[in-house]
Amino acid sequence: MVVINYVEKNVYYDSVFLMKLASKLTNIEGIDNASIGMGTPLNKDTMADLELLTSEGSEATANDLIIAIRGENNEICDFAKAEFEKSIKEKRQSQGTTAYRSIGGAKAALPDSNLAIISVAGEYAAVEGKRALQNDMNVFMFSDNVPIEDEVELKKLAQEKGLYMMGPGCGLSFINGVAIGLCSMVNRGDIGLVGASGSGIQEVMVLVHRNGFGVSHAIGTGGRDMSDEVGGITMIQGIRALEADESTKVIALISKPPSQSALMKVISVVKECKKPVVIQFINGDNQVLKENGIMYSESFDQTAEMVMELSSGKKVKLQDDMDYEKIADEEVKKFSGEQKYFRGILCGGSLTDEAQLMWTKQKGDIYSNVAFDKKLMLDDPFCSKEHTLIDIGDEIFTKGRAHVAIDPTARVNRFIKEARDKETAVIYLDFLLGYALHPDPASVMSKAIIEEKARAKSEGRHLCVVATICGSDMDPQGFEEQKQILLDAGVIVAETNSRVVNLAMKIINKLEER
Amino acid sequence: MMKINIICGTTKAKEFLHCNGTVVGIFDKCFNILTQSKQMLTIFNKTDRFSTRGLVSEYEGSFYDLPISVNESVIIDSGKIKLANIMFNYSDMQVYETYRQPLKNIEIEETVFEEMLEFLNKYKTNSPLICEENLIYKKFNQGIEMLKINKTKGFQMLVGLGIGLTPSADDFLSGITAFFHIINYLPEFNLSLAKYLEQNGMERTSFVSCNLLKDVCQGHINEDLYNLLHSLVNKKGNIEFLTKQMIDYGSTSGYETCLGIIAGYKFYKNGDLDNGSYKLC
Repeated sequence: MVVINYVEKNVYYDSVFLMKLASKLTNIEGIDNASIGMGTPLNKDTMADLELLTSEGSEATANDLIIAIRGENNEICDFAKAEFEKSIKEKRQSQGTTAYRSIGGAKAALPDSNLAIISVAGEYAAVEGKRALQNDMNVFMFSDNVPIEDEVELKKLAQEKGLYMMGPGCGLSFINGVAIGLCSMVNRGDIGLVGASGSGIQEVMVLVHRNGFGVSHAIGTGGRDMSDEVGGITMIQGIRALEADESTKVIALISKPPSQSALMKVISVVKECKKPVVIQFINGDNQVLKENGIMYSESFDQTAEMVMELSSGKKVKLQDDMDYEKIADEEVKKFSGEQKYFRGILCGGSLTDEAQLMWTKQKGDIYSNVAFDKKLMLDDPFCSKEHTLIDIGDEIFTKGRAHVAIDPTARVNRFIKEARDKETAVIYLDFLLGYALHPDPASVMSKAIIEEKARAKSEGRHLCVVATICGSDMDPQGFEEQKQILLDAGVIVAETNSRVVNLAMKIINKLEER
Repeated sequence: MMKINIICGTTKAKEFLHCNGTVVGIFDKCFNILTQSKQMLTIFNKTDRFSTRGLVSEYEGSFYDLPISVNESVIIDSGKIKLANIMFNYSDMQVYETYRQPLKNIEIEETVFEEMLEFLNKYKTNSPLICEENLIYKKFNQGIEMLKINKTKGFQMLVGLGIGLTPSADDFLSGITAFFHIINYLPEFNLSLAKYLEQNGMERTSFVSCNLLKDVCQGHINEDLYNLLHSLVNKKGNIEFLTKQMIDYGSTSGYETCLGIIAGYKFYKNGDLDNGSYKLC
């Protein structure tokens, strides 16, 4: 073993960086130990205690940095020193995009900043959210697993300060033309949206965009906003904000079914709203809305059509030139006798909910890992049963990875599994586009689709893959490019979630009648 | 020649704007000048947070991007600081007083410090002062023990202990001395430390730390530290928020300063520098 001390004169770095660097050097093969610190007498004593101090290091002053390394030989020590310099260079280069240690530090450096986007583990998110609000910043919180009491506290604090607490568990927002979170880019217009439904809001946004309309703002509230405990705080703030916003002409609210108390609070606000409001509560009870004279919708397609009609004053029907009957007829001819089941593997939670709702109302039972009816909850979310819809964005599938719309690995694996099930006939995949999402989801999936279709064919089966792309032509992935990739892979691409589900039901019905 | 205005500076920094010096350290957001009288000045870019030796410029970029280098000569004269091809103009700068008068009519209550300790436990950093397996931890505890018996030997065992630009034990001491000054307790402790630093500081620790610690001993306290102390001894304000503001300082410096405040309180409460009274528990 050799010990070498490299002395850098008048050089300073923060202690955490130095500790991490020392640890990194120690982990190099052939390095026994490393210590980095200022050449103060006490630090030199410490290095000597660790048998890491040489005469060169002893001569260092309190203003010099000592990099003390013990390794198998001189070459390895020099290599470690080179790694040290590489790390320093990388640190210097990263200074261009300044990283701050805290929200407070960032705010101090950028006093005009008014939005904090928080995506840390749930146990830390509330503290950071509070800090942001105390620093007069609105909060977009992607993090979930935040205790509900903390959410209530944060939302009340935001409300007191005239700020917005979007989340926890908020997937997207679109404010003043800026896409926040996992969000598509769309045209600006006069349709405002508020909701606890990431992919639901996105679906409506892109549908209005494709039909020549635009969005003023879309305010995400987080999934629990319409619970008893939270009471729709952000939803109500959003409604009032859009009501006051000059660029907004019509408002849509989209949410999972609300608690009764939250619902009544929202209803009373909506009834006073001077602008027309359409409400879509997925799997909600629309009777109470009807009784209160509030416009409601039962699907994302319908929500989009209604708000476009209210915006323009004219009836608007979503365009679609696909002959679903013909497509279903052609597909059915190709299946083997064993094939009978539908399997949906969706990234969008709200899209999964809509699909489940449609299937249940129009077709019958469908199993899911997020089943409305507990009887239809999968015993094992990794094993499909009969007709199954999977919300693959659920945490159980990602296990500490990024959301499936960012890292599609979990979905690719599940697709392969479903494709190799001899009883699978139709697989449905949704593709979410937008900033912060995977740059090319169609390419990633199409490779598996092509391979599994070929495999199925070689085994005398036909794999029917249907898809929808929830995105716009302004998204960085390129809507048309993504669509073409899927078409080239033999995927049937429909315009909306509900049209895909309708097609899938049509195919399965024909299969059953065969 | 590039001209940059100095918007504001501290009284302490102004005190030393009378002799030339050398650039001794360049960072992203600031760079240090060591004057010929062995005093430190720090020129910051546009920021709200600066040290007791701070001169805040209107420059918004990174100092790495400026054509300055370590050991560059610095001429300070007639309202101007000149180095390389850059001139910092401080003739119109606003001056901020960094000396804080000890507070009167204060209420020192244990619950407030216990609350702060909870926040420090919640927002733990990688400070070696709380890392039992770290060799510095052991030496640090030995130094605290010695402080109770012999202050000068205690300083000798603590000043300069820690790997960073401002060693961990120095930051810890700054917390103690700041607290003692604000409540006007045991002024001889601060005087002893200031004297020790005057005589030995430049050999025992980095000149940055030596200068800053001396300032604190003499009652020059930066805004965040002062706000926290004020809040603690007057039971006002948001302790968690102010503690977190302090913790944001440096990588572990702010945290270690807060540990020092807790230790200072316990020394005050017990009337002496008791064994183990600084430990988090």
